[in-house]
Amino acid sequence: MVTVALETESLTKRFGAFTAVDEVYLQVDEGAIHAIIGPNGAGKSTLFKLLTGVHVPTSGLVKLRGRDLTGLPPHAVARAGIVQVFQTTSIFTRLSVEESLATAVLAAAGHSASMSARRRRRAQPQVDELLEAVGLTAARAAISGTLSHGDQRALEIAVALGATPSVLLLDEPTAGMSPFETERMTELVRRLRHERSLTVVLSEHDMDVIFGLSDRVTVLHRGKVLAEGSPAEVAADDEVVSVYLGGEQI
Amino acid sequence: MSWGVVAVALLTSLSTAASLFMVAAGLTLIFGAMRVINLAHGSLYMYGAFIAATIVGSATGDTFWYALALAPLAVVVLGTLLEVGLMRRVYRADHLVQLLATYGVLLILGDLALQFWGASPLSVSSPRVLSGSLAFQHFTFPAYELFLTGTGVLVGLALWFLLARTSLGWKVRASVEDAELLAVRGTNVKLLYTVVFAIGAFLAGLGGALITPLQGVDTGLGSSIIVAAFVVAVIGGLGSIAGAALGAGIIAVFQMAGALWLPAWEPTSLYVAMIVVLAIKPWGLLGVRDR
Repeated sequence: MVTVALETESLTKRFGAFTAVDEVYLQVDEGAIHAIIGPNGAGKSTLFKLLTGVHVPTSGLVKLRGRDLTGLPPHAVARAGIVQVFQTTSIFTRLSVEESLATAVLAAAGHSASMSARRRRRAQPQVDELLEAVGLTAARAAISGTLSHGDQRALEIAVALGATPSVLLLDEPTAGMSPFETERMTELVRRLRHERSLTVVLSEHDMDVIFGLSDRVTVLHRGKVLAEGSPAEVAADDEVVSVYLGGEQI
Repeated sequence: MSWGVVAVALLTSLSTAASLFMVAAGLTLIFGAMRVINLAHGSLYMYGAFIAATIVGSATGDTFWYALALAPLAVVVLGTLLEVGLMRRVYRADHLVQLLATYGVLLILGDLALQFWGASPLSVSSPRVLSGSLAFQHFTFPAYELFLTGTGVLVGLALWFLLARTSLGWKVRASVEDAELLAVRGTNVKLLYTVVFAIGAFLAGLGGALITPLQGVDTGLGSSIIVAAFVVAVIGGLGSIAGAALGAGIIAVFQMAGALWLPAWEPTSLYVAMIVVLAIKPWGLLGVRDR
């Protein structure tokens, strides 16, 4: 039997009179790549912020392998294993590559304000391994802000992995990428899922990426779940085609 | 003017600068990480001085070293209480709210100090080993002031090491850039802020304890130092530790020059220096444009 990694129950977020996320039930299977799609303003970003603890839900629950994470602060959610990679490259531009990674690795181990050199040395093997995994070993001492765009993206993923996630949230991972870069990113996501036994939740606009990568698709529309199923099932859903795909041929 | 006078003036400036630097560094560190101007920082300095004077006065013998070790720690406790009880509630508030809140704390702590210690200044004598003067070829200079300068340099180096070489420092620098990102990567930013505030309080307490042999300790100490420390931090660039060191040096030299050549203008020299620097570099000498 497949176990559920990430689950939400009747998850709702209101901002004043506006309901951004409306009674969303989501089940993400262990080890799956699960896409969340929907037009702009469908509530994808808010949903991600609810999953990472940045927003506190108005009502409803977020559970990770049965453990209720609702209302935990962001750092506690990250340590529990839910880590997000953002749409716009989010790194600490003034820290070196190695400093950025060590910061995440130490934080995952529960050291928020430690200056112990011993702890830092103990984190070193993991830092080295991550540098190797994303191909940044040679750039370890470089200031992050001076890296090329592709390397910054790689660093961001390495930093996210440094937080030792079990569920990785990817917010439009291929936005603004060339077809070649998109192919590379798709490959990386596939590889990471297998090598690190990750569960991946991604929001995406690129239909080729969604169909090529994901096992399941949830369609959001105006904060509600419009449809859920395999990519083929969702693509065949008349309602989805009319509101979201706008009659676009797939 | 003889070389001896110039040398004494410069060395005096350096010890003034060291003392100003310690207080301004704490102020600027706290501003850099949490974007809050803590007016009560001056009170922490004053409590450092009062607690040190009380410890020195409570026993006979060379108690100064105990005072120097214990007073900053007591101020760390006070600062931590202040952070947890008040400051963390106003980090996201408007600057005006922050100023009002910390100014309120300044007044309350000032009145409490008046209750405990009274209005007449306490005095502390230098520790025995440092009570004399050192004789150079053309002049003599108080040993304690040289000690103060040396301590200032050590504190500066320690802060540099902390920010550049320890993971705590990396996190502080990361939080300056994007605290929310740091949190979603697993760092307890609330705890980090408390620790940063405590370090700032330690610097204020240390500065206060160190000044006691040179200055009578009274309840006016807090408000006078906060103005000078604020000017120093602004000149150097708010948020920059190296800037605080530079600013402290400039202010100390300016004040000394004012006292030597234009005594009537000495109190004003502080502001003249600030206006000149800000006219040329609005973000301070080593400051960066605010986000």
